[in-house]
Amino acid sequence: MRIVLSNDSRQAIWEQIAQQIKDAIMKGELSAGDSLPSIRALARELRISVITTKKAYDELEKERFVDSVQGKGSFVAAQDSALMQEKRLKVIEDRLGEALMEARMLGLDYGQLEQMLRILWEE
Amino acid sequence: MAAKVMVKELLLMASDPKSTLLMLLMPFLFRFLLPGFNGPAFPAMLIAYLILGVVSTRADGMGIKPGLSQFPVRMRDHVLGVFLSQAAVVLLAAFLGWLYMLILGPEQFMAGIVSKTLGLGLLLTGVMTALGLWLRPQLSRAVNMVVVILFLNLVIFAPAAGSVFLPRVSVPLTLGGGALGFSLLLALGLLYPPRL
Amino acid sequence: MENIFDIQNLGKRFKSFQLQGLSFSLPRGYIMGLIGPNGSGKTTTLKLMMNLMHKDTGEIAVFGQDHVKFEREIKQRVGIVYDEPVFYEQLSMRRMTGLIRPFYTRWNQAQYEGYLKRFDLDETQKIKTLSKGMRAKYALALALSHGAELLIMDEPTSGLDPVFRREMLDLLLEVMQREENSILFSTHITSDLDRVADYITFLDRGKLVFSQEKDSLYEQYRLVKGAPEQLTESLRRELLGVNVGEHGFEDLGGLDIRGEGLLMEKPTIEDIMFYLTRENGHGR
Repeated sequence: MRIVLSNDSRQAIWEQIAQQIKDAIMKGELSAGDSLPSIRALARELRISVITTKKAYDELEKERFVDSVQGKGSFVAAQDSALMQEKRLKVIEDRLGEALMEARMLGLDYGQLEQMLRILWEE
Repeated sequence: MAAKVMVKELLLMASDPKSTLLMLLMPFLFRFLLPGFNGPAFPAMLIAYLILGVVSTRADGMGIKPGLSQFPVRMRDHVLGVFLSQAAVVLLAAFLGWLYMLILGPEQFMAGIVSKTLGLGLLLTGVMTALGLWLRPQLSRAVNMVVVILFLNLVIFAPAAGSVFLPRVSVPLTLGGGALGFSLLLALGLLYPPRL
Repeated sequence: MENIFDIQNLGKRFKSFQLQGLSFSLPRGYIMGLIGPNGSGKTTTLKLMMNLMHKDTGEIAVFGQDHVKFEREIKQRVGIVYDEPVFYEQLSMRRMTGLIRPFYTRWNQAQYEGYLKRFDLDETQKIKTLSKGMRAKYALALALSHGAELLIMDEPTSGLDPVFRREMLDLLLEVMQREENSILFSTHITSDLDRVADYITFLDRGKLVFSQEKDSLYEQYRLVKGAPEQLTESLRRELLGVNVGEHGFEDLGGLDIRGEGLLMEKPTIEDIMFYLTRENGHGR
């Protein structure tokens, strides 16, 4: 599992961590049952605060990506495939939403946007 | 804990054996090289020089900071330990003086020289240790020198063999007074500990 | 979860300075950065905690125990590195350590030697010949070798080269792998804390400005930048301590600041410190 943090990003550090782990899970890089580093080990590796990694893991647990077992550590949760599908759709939705916002700021109309999408699809 | 501090202070003093040894040898040098040096009061000189030797090695200029910041002790442990270590030095010096006297035969020396010097030594050490807590290192070192030199003078210019050292005060008085004075100064040191 | 230390209403008066009503705590298992301009009282606070100075008012509990009544027990469990540590200068490190060792019940010689090796220290060297960096390393080796659960450090990285500073941070993170350990780290080099600290306590002129989770600071403040024309009166009032230049202004604001075309960034701890002290009236 690779996590790369950016100080400049709009996202808080804990969000970046959670996001990257989520992505890894959804892409299949991490499978159900895989163990994740402890919050302290991760904090040490990334050189950040323990509270930050804890927040990231709490978020992942809330969204049922990760299960934490007292005394044993944190593991990737079994992903319900329907739920997984839904989560992945949401990612696409979010990203499209971002693209849409950029387009609007630039003053593009729907037709231009659709054209861009078509070109990319056909690449 | 104060005992540990005492041991530590003694070890610290012993860490510079060269200068302590020198101090130990000095009286002998004077004794044999300087004519007319007051032989009968020699044990007292020995004691005084030993105290001086120890006192000057303490003057590392750092004062009490290392003792308090690097060791897990309370201020009062440190103060008590320091006083005890100084008392130990005086007792050791007196013992050596007494041994010297015993070897050469007590009749060569003044009566009561070791015991009275012990009493005096305790009192003066108490004073120097207490001042060392309150004064700046350089100043206390200077005061120590003065005290020991005055003490030495008293001893050097005392009269000859067979006579009594400090005839106007008795042995019990000197010893008792010394111990009492030492204890009082220790109490003062504990009541008015140095400020860091 | 127990607090590794609790400071309540700490006060101490000096001739030209006063520490007032300081209250903050650190839960076990976390790192706290103590920041503030020079002379704000950071070192004084640490010395008062260790009873190197007597406090005038307030309560301090370390490991749940009163710091005066249980001074010796507490000191066994605390490793402390002072700013410009003072040793018996004429001794070698080996001798100095030899004097210190018998005082600690949980002294770990193997660990100590490990640190010496890691820091590349020659034990036979006399302390007075050591550079500032080496003294700091030696002090650190001592602090970490007697099973301390609380590590207190006063300006540990000032005067150290950046390479060693990084190494030291890694070392601290290693220490934090054990949940029972905590670190209180006083510094004015805040870039170290930006990443690693869990909590930040900010002192200014003897008073507490805040003591909270570092992450929540980022949720509370933003660095706001913009062109001079954008600095309207109402905006100025909402911002804290404005820094206006020819080409633009930079300032600290709450999360609710809104404005056309204003650039909002995550502030560094240094930014937060800088603007809050200006707000408090230093050099406006």
